Amino acid sequence: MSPFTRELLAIGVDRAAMQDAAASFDARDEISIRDALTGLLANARRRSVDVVLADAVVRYLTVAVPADAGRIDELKAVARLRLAELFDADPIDWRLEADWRARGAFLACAMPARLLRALESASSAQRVRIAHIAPLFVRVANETTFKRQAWLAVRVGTHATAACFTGANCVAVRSAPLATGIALSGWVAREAELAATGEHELVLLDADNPSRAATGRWIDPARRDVALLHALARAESEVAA
Amino acid sequence: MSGWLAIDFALRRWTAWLRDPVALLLVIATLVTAALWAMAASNQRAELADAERQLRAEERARERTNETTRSLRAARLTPARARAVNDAIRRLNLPWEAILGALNDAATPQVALLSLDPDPTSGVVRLTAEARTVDAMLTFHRRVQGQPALAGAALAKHELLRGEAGQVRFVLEARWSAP
Repeated sequence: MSPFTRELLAIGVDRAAMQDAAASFDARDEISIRDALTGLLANARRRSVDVVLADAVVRYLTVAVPADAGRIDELKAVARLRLAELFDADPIDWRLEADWRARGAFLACAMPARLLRALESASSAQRVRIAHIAPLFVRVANETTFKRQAWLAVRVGTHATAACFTGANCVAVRSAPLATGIALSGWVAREAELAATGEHELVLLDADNPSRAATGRWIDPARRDVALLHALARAESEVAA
Repeated sequence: MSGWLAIDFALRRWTAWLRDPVALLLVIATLVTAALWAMAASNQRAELADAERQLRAEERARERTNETTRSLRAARLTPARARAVNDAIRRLNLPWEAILGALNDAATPQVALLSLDPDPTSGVVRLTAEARTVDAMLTFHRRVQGQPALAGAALAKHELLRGEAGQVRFVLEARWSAP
């Protein structure tokens, strides 16, 4: 590992991993999550780590900015209402972050508040600074170049996330379980048709399909965050089986 | 397009840095350095202000000296002029009230005071007077001797006036006491 690369802690639905160590937890129990993360962070070789969240852990939504709203408080209120409406979720139980924009539509993301509290508590106990906490799809989007009109899709294990970007706006997002036997490109094509997003570039990352279909532009899945989350997803599916 | 999604759940509070011992040490070191620098700068400013004040005082003193020198040169104060000035000052400082009071107390109807000539340098007052008789002159002499403001009163000279029966003109000298 480069001396300038931060260590990476990956968190799945009910387990987490860092380096070669992994720990499982009860996602409904904050203390269980905190204990598992504290144990993993005890092995941190650096004092600062990045955290990647599995896309199945978070909730994605798009927020269209109302014509009469532009202040950040108003945007946050609209995003919280959307979160409650789409997922029947109490906003108190979720921590919402977004790519806030004053016009158009933007991508928002919510992570469980108890998971964030457990993470902060564990990092404080181990005196480790958490530099960044972001879900996998956001990390991939932030490291990928694509055209003005594009769908970006990411699948690790049995969960896929796709979003349509038009310039700086995020006009559609889908995040759902998707069996490994179903082609990612076909799923995105159907979602694009449903959302009526028109002509677009297709950019795909599929951890379980390195052979790559002919359709779309494929991102190499040989990444640390994908590898860690893929291992977690496999372990979770084995336990489920 | 490239990555621009500003979505990050990490703590953005400044206190998050306090959890990193290295960052905390750096912050403390920076604060200490800044405080020391500020103290040094403050001392230097105070020293500079003192030096400026001293310089201004020296310039003012030099200016005053130059003005005095210029005034003295312009006045051309010769020894004779200095003596005259000192005499004038001494005359102005004469205890006129005490001298005139003493003479008033010593005066008699038989004696007329003709002139009063004080000499500030020696502190002696010279009286010229006329008396109806020699006895009146001597009486006046004794009365002057009895005045505390005038000491050592002595008749310097006297002469009988021609054509005036018994009248005498005399000069009396006495030293006045310092007030």
